[in-house]
Parts: sequence; C-alpha cells; structure tokens
Amino acid sequence: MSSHALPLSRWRSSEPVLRCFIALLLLWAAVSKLSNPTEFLGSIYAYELGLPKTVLKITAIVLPWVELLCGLTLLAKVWTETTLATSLALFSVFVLATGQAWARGLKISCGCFDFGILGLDKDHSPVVKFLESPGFAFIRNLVLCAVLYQLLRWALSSCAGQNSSTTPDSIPTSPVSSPRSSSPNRKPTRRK
Amino acid sequence: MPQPHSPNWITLVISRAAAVVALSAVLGFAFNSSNPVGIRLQDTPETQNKPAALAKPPTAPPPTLAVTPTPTPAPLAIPPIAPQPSASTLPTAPAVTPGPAPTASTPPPPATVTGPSPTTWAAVKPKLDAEKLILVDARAKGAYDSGHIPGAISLPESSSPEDLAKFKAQFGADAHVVVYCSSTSCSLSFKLAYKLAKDHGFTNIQYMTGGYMEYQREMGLNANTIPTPTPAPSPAAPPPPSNLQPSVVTSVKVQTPSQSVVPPSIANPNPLPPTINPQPTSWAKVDELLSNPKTVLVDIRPPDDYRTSHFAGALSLPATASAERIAEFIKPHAPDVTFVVYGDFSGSAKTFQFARQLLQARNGSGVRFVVDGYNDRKASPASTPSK
Repeated sequence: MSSHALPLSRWRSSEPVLRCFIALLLLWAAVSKLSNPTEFLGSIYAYELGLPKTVLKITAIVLPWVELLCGLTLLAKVWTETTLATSLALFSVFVLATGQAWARGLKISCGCFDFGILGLDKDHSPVVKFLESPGFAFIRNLVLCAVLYQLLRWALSSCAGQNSSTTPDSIPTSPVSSPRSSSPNRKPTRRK
Repeated sequence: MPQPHSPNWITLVISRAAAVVALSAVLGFAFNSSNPVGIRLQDTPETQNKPAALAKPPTAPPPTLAVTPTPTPAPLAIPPIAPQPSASTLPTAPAVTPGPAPTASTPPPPATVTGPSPTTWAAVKPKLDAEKLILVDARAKGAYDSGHIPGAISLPESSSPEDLAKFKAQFGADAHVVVYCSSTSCSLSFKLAYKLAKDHGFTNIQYMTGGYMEYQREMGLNANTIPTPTPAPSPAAPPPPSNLQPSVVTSVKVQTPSQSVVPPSIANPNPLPPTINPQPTSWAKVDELLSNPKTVLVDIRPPDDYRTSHFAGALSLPATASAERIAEFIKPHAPDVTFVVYGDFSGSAKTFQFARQLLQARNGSGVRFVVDGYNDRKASPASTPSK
C-alpha cells in the first residue's frame, strides 16, 4: 500500500460493513423507485436539468435497475471494482443534480421518509424540512461519494497486492536465484 | 485480473460497466412495458398539457359539505384530568357549554361534517367526464408533467396563498373540487384539500385517496379486460364567463371522452378492493357524538403529551403503536363503539392515516377522525394538566 493511505488503513476492517451498507442503500433506493416509477420521473423533472424529456424518461426507466444490479453485485462481492466505480459515477451525478438544485433554490421535497416514527411532525418540524431538502440530499450524496471512493481505493489496493504476488514483476531482479538464499543485508527489489 | 490502472484493466472495467448498464436497460424496458403504472415514452393524454376552454362551474348548488365557520371557542367544562381509565370502562362525556346563540346576522352552523371527504377514481370518473367537477393535481409541477389524469389542473400543495386565491376566483368556492396526488402513501391531496376548505372557504371539496396510481391501475386493468367503448360525442366547450381571467390557468385540458367513457353495463371482472377511509368530523360534531356513551375519544399524540394534558375520558393510543397494540386496544370495546381519533395539529395527515389504520383493524366500521387538532380546541380555561 502507498504511504499516503496509511492514516485510513486502520479503518480497513470496516470495509465489509461499509460495502454492505452501500449495497443495501442501493437496493432500497432501487426498490423505492421501481414501486412508483412515475413519481420518480416527477422527481427527475423537478430538478429542472434542461435535458430532453425522452432522455429523462429513459433515465427513469434504466437507473433503478443500475442501482439494483450494483447493490446485488456488491453484496455478492462480484466485479467489486467495476461496481464501486459505477456506483461512484452514479453518486457523482446525484451530487451534481442535488447541488445545482440547492444552489438554484429549487423547492424539492421527495417525501421519502416517514419521520413520524421518530416523533417528528413532518408538517411543523424544521428538522424534517431540512432532511427532505436538496441541501441535505447534496451533503448525504457527497458523504456517500467519499465512502465509495475509499472503498474503491481499498479494492484497488487489494487487487494490486494480489497481482504483485503473482506477476513476473514481483520476482527480484538481483542475480540471487532465490529470495531465501539471499544475504540478510540484501533485500529483493520490487517494481512499484 | 490485469494490473489496476493499466490500459487492460481500464478496458475491462469499462466493458463490465457497459454490460451492467446494458443489462439494466434490457431489464428496465422489459419491466416498464409490463408494468401498468410504468412510464410511457410517447406522449399520451396523461402527459399532454394543452390549454383548453375553462370548465364551467356547475350551476346547480352542490350537495353537502358546508364548511362550518370557525366557531368562537366555546369553553368546554372539562373536569379534572383523571388517570387513564381501564379499558373496560367507557369514558364520561365532557360537559359541553353551549356556544353563543345564533343571531339574525350569524346563521347557525349547519350540522354537517366539515373538511374534505375521501373519494375514489371510480366515483370521480363519471363526473369528470360530464365536466361536473374540477380535478386538481396537488403534486409538484415536475410530477404533473411526467403524467397526470387527463383534465386535471396542476395546483401544487406548495402553491402560495395568492395562487390558491386565484384558483378560487377562477372557479368559485362552491365548485365541486377533487384533489389527488400520487398514491395512498401521499398526503399532499388531503393537505391541499383541507387548506382550500379551511382557508379559502371551498364547500364541496374531496380528495382522491388512491391518487394517480389508482387511476393508472384502473386504466391498465380496463385496457386489458374491457373492450374499447364507443366514444360519446364530445360536448361543446362552453365559453368562459366574462368575469374570469383566462390567463390565470393554462394547464386545463378539455376532457376527451373517448378515453374515459365506460358504459356502466360493462363491469370490471377484476375490481380493485374498495379503499376504506374514516369519516372526518369536527369538534362541534364530537360534542354531539360524545353524548352517546358508545363513543370513545382516542388521543394519538405521544404519551408524554397525553400525560401533560388531554381531554377527560380520552384514551391514549400513540400514532406509532404497532398492529398488535392496536388490536389489544380494540379488543375490549364492543363492536358498536365509535372511536373518534384526534391528533395535535389541524389538517394533519398523520391523524387521518392512523384513523384509517384503526378502521382497517376494525374491519371498516366505527372510526372517525377530527380534522382540527387538539391544539385548536385546547384553548379552554377548564383544561387542566393531568396529575
């Protein structure tokens, strides 16, 4: 691992938990959108992205399935790097969309969360109003992007570590035939 | 697996990502085409937004639903708060101090239910076809543009009071208005209907509980099981009255009868189960109901609020109660007991939704909910905190 990743190396043990959390979040988001596609399309329209309606409709049809497949593959630990990269790209788009909505002061409220179970009244609580605002969505997506970025880095470093132990590049270039028979003062050289 | 960041690795990741997106597209379009509430790529009557002639307000006075003007708070002679009685004991009705006697200039409030009442698409459809009501979409403009019931006007719940006043000026407070939003889990329609009734004096207002999703399901089922009906001749759109300003509303569309007229003789072989909804009521009506010993007041506010103060005789059943707790609450009461549910704030969707949950637990009978909240009725010198 490179030296600048060391400060976060101690959090590496949380990687499975974070991966599963992101996966379940993606699955939940996908199911919510698939249960009411028209409402999801309405939410996309509300962001006033300026794209043609056909493009937005295709996005509303395809995007929930991208989330669903990414969630499933993350849980199954299949194509992890690809899934993390795809999810990171997806959340980056969400950050841009919510950021521009927040900057433009668009009044968008998804009404996705039922805060009554927390004892908060949706109609009168400023906390609830903030939790449903584009501002909070922007911050939330930004945090998720950061988590995904770190998960991707860990996945890549694991992949690099596996490759370096098996590729010809890992064999020391010194004339000594075996690392075990080398002098204790001579360390095998490795290509980075 | 190629070395990360190598060209081969990048190519591999991109090709796998493309495969994921391609598979998502295939699954997405396949699911969408088979989904009765899916997204229609082509423009349909549900997505068209052409301005049309204004609907003429009904000339005949509409039935029922007069809004009782907000009464001067008649103080309830509420006895000191007693500890919550046992479930087997029916509460005593609080004493009611009669309000001010009506004078010649103050007509007595009609003894009718206040606030908007629930309805369904099946009931709305024939009246909409006959242009006997105004259908209002309470969702945000984006949702309206993505698809709405043909003939509906966009009037988001977040509209300013000025916009609501313009709507009232355009159609009149006695117009029969039906408000809908997205589905049963959406409360925008109820909130907008309540706002129009309470703040703008609409006297004949309803809200469609199933929302746009109910319309989509009905139209999907009808398209599969009912033969296309013969289109009725399109009625001529009446000219707008001279005192209206056509520029205010631009999203009204003339109803196209060919898409929605269903001969009554053709029954839907797969009817949707009717939506069970509790009846709304007002505090004035509750005073009358409580004279019947078989009426139970139910306080759905958090237990701490209930303990601080509540109406004498009201039983606590927080809105967050589980289904088991609700069943346990209902069990000791006789089937002919009427529960009257109240919450803290006026027009709270939480009160309505909990009342509906209670109604379903009681197999569809004996539950009402108070449209106004506890805070609106609390202004009484006799209301004392609990011990």
